[in-house]
Amino acid sequence: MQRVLKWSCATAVLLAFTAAGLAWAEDGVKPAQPEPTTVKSLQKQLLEENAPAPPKTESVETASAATASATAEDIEAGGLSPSVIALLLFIFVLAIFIGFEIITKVPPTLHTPLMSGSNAISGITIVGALLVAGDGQGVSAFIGFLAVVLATINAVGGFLVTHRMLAMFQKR
Amino acid sequence: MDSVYLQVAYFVAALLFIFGLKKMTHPRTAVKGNALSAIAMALALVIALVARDGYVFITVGLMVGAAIGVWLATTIKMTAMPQLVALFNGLGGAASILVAGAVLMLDPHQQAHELIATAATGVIGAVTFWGSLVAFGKLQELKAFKKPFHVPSQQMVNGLLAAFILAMCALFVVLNTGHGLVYVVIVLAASVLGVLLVNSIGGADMPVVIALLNSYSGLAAAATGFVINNVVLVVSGALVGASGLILTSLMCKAMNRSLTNVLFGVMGEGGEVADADEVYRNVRSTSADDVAMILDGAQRVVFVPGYGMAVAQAQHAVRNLAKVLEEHGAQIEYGIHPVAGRMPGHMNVLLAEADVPYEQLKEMDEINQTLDTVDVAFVIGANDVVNPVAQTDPNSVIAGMPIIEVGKARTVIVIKRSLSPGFAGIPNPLFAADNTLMLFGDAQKAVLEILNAVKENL
Repeated sequence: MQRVLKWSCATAVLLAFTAAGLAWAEDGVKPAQPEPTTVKSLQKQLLEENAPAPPKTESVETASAATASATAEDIEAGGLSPSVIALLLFIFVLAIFIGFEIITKVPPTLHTPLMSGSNAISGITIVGALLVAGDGQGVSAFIGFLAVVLATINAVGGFLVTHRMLAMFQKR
Repeated sequence: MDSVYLQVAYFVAALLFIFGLKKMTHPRTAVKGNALSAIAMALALVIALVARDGYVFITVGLMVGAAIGVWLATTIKMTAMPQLVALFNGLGGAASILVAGAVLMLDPHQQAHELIATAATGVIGAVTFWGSLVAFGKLQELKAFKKPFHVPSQQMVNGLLAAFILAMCALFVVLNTGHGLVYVVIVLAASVLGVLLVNSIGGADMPVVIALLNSYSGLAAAATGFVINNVVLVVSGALVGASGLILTSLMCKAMNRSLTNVLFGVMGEGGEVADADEVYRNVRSTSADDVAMILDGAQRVVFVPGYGMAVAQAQHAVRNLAKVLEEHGAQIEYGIHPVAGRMPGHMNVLLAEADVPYEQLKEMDEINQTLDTVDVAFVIGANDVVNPVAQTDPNSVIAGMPIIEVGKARTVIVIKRSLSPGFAGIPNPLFAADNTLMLFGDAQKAVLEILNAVKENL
């Protein structure tokens, strides 16, 4: 019971921080803006509104910013605020703690399925792959395509093979 | 769709991953847990697709990847699982390198923290990919990987290489314009390091390496998350990283060796290795018929499997023998050493494939407590994990490694092809103990012979 409590608390903290970060980043978004996909692009808009003349002009046509057919202003925007980076780091560390908490309770019997299952989860790179695959042209598009294929093999194959294994454990 | 909904949806996906892993803590809920993780992945995928316009390239990529993934996952034999896990690991790492590289091409003017994340992705991804490929080659027992190639003063080469990579990363960040060429150099250097690191590792150390590479593939994904500022990548990458690290430390503990010790291939400086002929002077071999006689009336029987069982694919034969013994009133258990086999939990998967109920699978500490009340202990293709030298000789290379103390059982029957040493390269006095009988031969054939003899007897 206590474990469940501890674990839920950790999740709640993670949830709270992410939600706070989202709300904070959302603050600066113009209602009519087409959808940007990342905290980064949101943050760019935020900075742009509050500081109309950013000190340096960068071409920020990154995969993430460009994803949402960003406007010209978007591309003129400044950099990412350090607090967003801090937030990501925060989430990263908290997630590691949650991972430790949960994984230590996995019985040795399930270590192989755990490994192949978590391995499939690391196929999440597919999200990044999707974001770059369509944006680029020529070489970068091809690299993105390759990344999509590899990450999909990783994710689909990983989950399936884990399922096969776990089904054997569940037979009785 | 409004951007904040996209973010929330990503967040839900991350939460689902957490819940999915949480359900992995029990065999009954694990299938659901895995399904939950898969749903989370599908959700993240849909969000990523919604966030952009449809694209033929992507669809084709997804379909090709899914087809290959399904084909691999459904056709692979359970005994080849370690190789497959290694291979999938590597692909994840490679995908991370490519994503970070493509982002760099699209926008070379990254900020310092993004450049750091990109460099980290390149290093971790490349070590994961090449390390996993070498591990795959070794597990698949490809000819080229049978013996590690010799690198003169390998430790120094590794050290220099690591220093070079660090310097290149620093340069990459300082140059500040996201130099594609430097990134390529980093990736290439890290690739060489990955090959060298895994090259010298083999045999019983494989579970540690596989777990560590598993961890790296997660960290690579998390680093990619920092490159594209994406929460779901960061969270799930961190989860996988943590999972792999825990498994790594568990495996190291089970061998009483430190991680650096495993990675740099320093098998503890053992004292004099006992002369095998001397140790094995009193070895007694037996036959399947004799074993069947001993089994007649045995109340408690314990099987201790090792990598040899996997090689001989003897798990079904073992299960059938156990079934027959069970029908005649014997209590059956399986004692499983954490590093038996070539990856964490390897033996459990094989036995589960053969329909062994997981309640019968006992961990080392649990089985050790009751081994003195066991009538017959079978050691099937295991060696170092049952070697009493670990406890009796403080100068041995495996001194301090926890073992399954089968010697406490009334009779020990060791099924093994020969008296050749295990990975540690030392003789095993258990084989010559007074209560031990050796049954030489292929594990599957030997167990089937015992099974037939038992059936005739009854």
